[in-house]
Amino acid sequence: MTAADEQHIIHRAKTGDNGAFRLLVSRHMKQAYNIAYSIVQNHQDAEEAAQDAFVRAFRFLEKFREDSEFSTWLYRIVVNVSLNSVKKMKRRTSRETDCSHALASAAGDDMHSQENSDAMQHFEKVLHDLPTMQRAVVILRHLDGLSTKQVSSILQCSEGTVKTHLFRGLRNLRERLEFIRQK
Amino acid sequence: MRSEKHILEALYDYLSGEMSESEKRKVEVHLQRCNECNAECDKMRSTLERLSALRYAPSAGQSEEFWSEFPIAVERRIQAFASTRERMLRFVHWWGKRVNGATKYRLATAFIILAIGTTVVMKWNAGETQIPSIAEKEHNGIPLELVDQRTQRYFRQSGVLMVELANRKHYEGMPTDLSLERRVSRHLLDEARFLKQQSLTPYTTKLMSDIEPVLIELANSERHSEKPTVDLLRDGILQGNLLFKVRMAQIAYDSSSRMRIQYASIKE
Ligand SMILES: [Zn+2]
Repeated sequence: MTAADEQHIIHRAKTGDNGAFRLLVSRHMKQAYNIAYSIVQNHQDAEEAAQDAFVRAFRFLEKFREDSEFSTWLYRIVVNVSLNSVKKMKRRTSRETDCSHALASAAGDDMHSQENSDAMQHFEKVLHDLPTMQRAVVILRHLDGLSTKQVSSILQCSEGTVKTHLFRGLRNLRERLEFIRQK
Repeated sequence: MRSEKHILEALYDYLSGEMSESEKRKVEVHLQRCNECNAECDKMRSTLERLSALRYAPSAGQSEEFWSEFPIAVERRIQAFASTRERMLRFVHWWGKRVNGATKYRLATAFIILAIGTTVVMKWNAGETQIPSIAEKEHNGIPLELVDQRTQRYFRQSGVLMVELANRKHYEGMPTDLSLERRVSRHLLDEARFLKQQSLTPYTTKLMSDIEPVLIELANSERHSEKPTVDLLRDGILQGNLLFKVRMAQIAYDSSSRMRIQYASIKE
């Protein structure tokens, strides 16, 4: 789908064409899900957050300016919903959180065991243990391949802040990896 | 290393290529002279390389079936959202006729619990239930979003007005100053006239019609009213269970717009 196609589809969705909106969902759902997952760290909440984000996008489609990029706008909603969900999660008891975290990483192990080497699994685990913002920034920028500018627009902070989080995130990542290797 | 500052913070820009040629040159000059930064640079480069080699796609962990269901699930949630509020309002209307003053607040709590239950049940049922089209996002050229907001405000302001009137003390022999209330009720009547021209749901319209007589009475009252007028208004409010109804309408609208409020910070 070209940018012009997408613009046309968004336009149709704005006028109430449900089929057009469904197309937008299909096109962006996996990326939305990945972004949500990078923040909430488990499949159940990622599904919830991604779906919730699309419901909001539908409700607020009117406010979307067509001269800006739809994906950036959408991913910003995904990030906001996911961060809210993390806040809610933190309010649960720590035991529960530990439990769900263990479940999540168990699921992660299972899923990637065939494709990924042990080193990669380590790497992912370490990545998941980073503070939320550092992790989100590193994933959006380096794993989802968005530009620093896009990331700053999605997270609603300056590019400078994104770079600071990136720098710290990468540094943390490396230090934790070294720590594991030494053990 | 000399007095020159380390360039750790600039290394990220350097390695990710987000740097002008002249700045790059400066970094390279520093790297040649400073072992510390040079080592750091190597480490960061290898971290970035490992990152780019990592295939990160949690979405791959879900089945094909999951992804073909996903857009349908989103649509269901959109529809459930639209119809939940209408169900809540219908419920309010039904209960409003049956509840007396003393129990209404206890019922309000029960209602909220029930509303949450309804929402959950809605999620299950949305697939089979016949629901008004969500395609209708605009009516008479006025976005439904705006109509929603104004309706919500209408119920909130009516609520404040009713509570204030119901609790109004009347001192014997002294006229009660109702000038402010009169002004508010006139504004609310104007607002109701506007809102009724929009595509409101039947139960929203019904609740508005229930409130209207009190507003009209108030709008036409003397600036300084004698006790009978105040009593009449208060009776109208209590007999019609208006406090309860307005409060519940408020909850119905507030809960459905909570996500709009949360969203207010995300402006394009
Ligand atoms: Zn240095």
